[in-house]
Amino acid sequence: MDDELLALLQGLNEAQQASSAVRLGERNIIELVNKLQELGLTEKLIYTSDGREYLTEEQLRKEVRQQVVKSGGRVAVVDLPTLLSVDLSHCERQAAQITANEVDRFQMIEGEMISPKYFDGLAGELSELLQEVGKVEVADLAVRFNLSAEVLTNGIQARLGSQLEGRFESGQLYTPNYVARLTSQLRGALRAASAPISLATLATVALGGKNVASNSLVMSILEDLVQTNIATGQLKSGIWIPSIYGQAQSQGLASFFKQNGHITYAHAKKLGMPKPAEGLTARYPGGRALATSFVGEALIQEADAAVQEVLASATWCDLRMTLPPALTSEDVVELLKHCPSAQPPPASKTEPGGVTIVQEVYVVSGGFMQQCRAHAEAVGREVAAQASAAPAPSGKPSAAVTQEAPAAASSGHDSDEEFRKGGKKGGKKGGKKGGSGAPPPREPSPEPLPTKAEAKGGKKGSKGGKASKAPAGGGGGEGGKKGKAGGGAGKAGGAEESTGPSAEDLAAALEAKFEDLAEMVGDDGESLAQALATQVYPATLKAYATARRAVFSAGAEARRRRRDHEASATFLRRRNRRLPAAIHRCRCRQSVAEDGGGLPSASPHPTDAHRLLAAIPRESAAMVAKVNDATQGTSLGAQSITQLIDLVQEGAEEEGLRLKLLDKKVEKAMLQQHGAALQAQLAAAEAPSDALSLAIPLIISQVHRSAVSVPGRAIAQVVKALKGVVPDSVQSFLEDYNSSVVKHLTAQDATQLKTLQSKLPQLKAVAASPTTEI
Amino acid sequence: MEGWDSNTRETVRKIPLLTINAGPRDGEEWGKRLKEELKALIGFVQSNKATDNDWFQISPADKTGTKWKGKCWYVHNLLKYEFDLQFEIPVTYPSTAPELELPELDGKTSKMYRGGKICLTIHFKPLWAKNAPHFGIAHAICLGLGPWMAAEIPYLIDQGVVVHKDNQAK
Repeated sequence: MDDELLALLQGLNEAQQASSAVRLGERNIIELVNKLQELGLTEKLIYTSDGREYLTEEQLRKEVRQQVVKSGGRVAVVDLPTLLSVDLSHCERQAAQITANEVDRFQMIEGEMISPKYFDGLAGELSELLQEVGKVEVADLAVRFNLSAEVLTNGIQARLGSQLEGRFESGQLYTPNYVARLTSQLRGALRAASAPISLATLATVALGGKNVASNSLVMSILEDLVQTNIATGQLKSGIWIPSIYGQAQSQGLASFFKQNGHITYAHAKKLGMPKPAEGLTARYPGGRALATSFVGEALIQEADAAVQEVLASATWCDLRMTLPPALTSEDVVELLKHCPSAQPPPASKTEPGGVTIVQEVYVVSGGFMQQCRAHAEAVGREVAAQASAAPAPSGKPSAAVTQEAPAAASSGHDSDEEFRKGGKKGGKKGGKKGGSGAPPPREPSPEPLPTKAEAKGGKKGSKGGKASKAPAGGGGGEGGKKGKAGGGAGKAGGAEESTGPSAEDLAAALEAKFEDLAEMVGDDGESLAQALATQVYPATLKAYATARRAVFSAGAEARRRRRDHEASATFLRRRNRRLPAAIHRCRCRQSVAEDGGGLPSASPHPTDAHRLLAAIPRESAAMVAKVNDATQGTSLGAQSITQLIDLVQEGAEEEGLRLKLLDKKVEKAMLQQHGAALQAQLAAAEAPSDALSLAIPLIISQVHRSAVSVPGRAIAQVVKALKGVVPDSVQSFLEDYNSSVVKHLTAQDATQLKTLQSKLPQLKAVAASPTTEI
Repeated sequence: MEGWDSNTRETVRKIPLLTINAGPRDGEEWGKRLKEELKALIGFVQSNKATDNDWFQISPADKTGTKWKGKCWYVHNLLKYEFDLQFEIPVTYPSTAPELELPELDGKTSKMYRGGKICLTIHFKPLWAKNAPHFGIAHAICLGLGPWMAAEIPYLIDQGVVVHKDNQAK
């Protein structure tokens, strides 16, 4: 065995005998470290994600800080585990601790650690970008730098003026040059504006037609310019009102007012005065604010002068001709309140010496009103004279005058019952008509038949007249509350009657006297003459009534003398009770209106008439005999009836009685009532003769619309007269029935009676509808 | 060397390769070969010592260097299990790898031939044949005995087949 081999063996032995280097395995080290941590001998250790390293929290924080700086001042926390090989939870914890303790050096923004240096660099980059493009939007920057707009905005605003030159406005960055150029353009536009213009429009115009209303920079610059008084003017609700415009408006308003002496509120508003009444009053203390205009002192004096002139000359004037046409009627009325001369005296505004305002625009002097009133009274007297002189059919026009006077209303106490009933109805009707408010155009009635009803109507009418400031007894009918109840004296009693001249007549008369009145027409279409006529109409009526009363008084004296001849009041009552019986036959033919709805009683027999005539005093006996003769001997022709009525009326006048004029409507109502009564009686009648005597008047009332009383012996003639009016079958039936009744009455034949009774229902049917064929 | 772990592979790379192709019957050539074998073993032992991974001790049992004896040990659960190691250099060496014997474990495991010869993996023989004559005794211990012990001893301990010497007395 050579030496080399021995040496090698020795070497092997030595190598195997040599002690091993102490080297712990990873697993052992891990176990050791864990043991140490369990025992609390070391601080908390964090091991890397690859499991090869342990590191303390302080070391991790240090590495995190270094990593943020290494990443340019911004690193996402989620990237730290990759970069540091440490679990994310440890990275997040340490990052949160760092940002909490070192606020000025690190910020945790949306899961990223960002140091201020990052924004410094960002500002520098933005500054370069701004110089290139002029303006940059934060939204674009946010996308570009992957930051929220808010964070970016805060970072930019903190460095504006120091590291970043530019202007930041509503999410946009502008270079100073851009802002300066824009400011210059807008300043020029503001200074050039001469009329109100909205800022949006102004900016659009100034920037070459671009719609920049939504650009807040432009609006911001504009507001800055306005606030810094670079351009004089006011900004109201987004409208730029240059000072020069306000001055021009003010000058225009002053100029207009100076030239015209007045200005309407509408015009003042156009000239930039929002509250013209207050503004003008404060500006011109001497002027007056009217309803729609403001007038100067000069204009008031001018109007006052016109009023004074009217007063001095006792005429009238239209203030609209004097005042500017822009003033409305309301203005004129208010203006007159400010005219010292136009102020009405405390007692009455129509006193002589004062003025009357007619139709709100006409100033009428008291003297002129006096003239009108005098003329109106003259007209009233003239009409009264004409009415008194006109030949009335009754020949006694004075009677109508008697009853239309209010004082004479009480004189109707001697009228009989018939007249009183008719008077009440007439009064109601007159009241209704009077309540219609129509003016009382009354022509003197050619046939006045005054009754008590007329007097009542007049009385009630006087109340209505009072309500409407019409003179008492003036005919009423001018409206008013009471006028509805009884103002219509003109129609009272259902007859036309005279109440004096109408307002239209009076207006025409005034126009005829004062020709210049006719041209004046007010705003409501009423002429000045009509208005004046309305004013003086009561005086006219008063004059008219006075004149008529005077005429009546003359006739009343004559009647009173006649009455003195009467023997006694008892005889007068008897006469009054019997006289109507004498004249009843003609009146029955003419009207049932006076009868109160009852069937006319049978006419007196000629012998009874003679007996009655004997009982009548001599003064009246001649007339009554005349009437009686006329009724007895005259057939009922139309002409004779008229003559008979005239005769009766004449007799009644002489006796101091009043006969009421017929009223068609009352007659119609009475006719219906009469027919209904006949119908009822006919239905109840069982005797053939009675039924026939009821059926014939009923048929006549239906076919001729007249209420008649047919005596038994006249039935045959009446049935003959029905020929051609009713069907032939009806007429022949009636003739047969009449002849059968006559036969029955003369012969008292029982069989005839049965026949008649069997035909009785047919007779009733014919009476119910006489125009129907049977 | 797909069948070995990374540490083993790393260790094998540190063992110097042999150059002389000679067996026990080649006379002087075997002496040269034996020198290279000793050098390789010295390097392998030093490497293990350096890495604190010393796990065997061996030395020639005769002058020719054809018989070798020694010990090998395995630490499991902080207990050191030590076994006798012996082997002979076969005549066909280095074409044939030496058969390593652990006589104490004879009959205790199926991964062993009669006489305590360990049953090497199927990868060993091809690898050895491929690297012959550059592989020597050190390579056989590193690639054969080491993995065998790492695989079998913990199993045998858990099975109770192998008991630590301290526990044997109990």
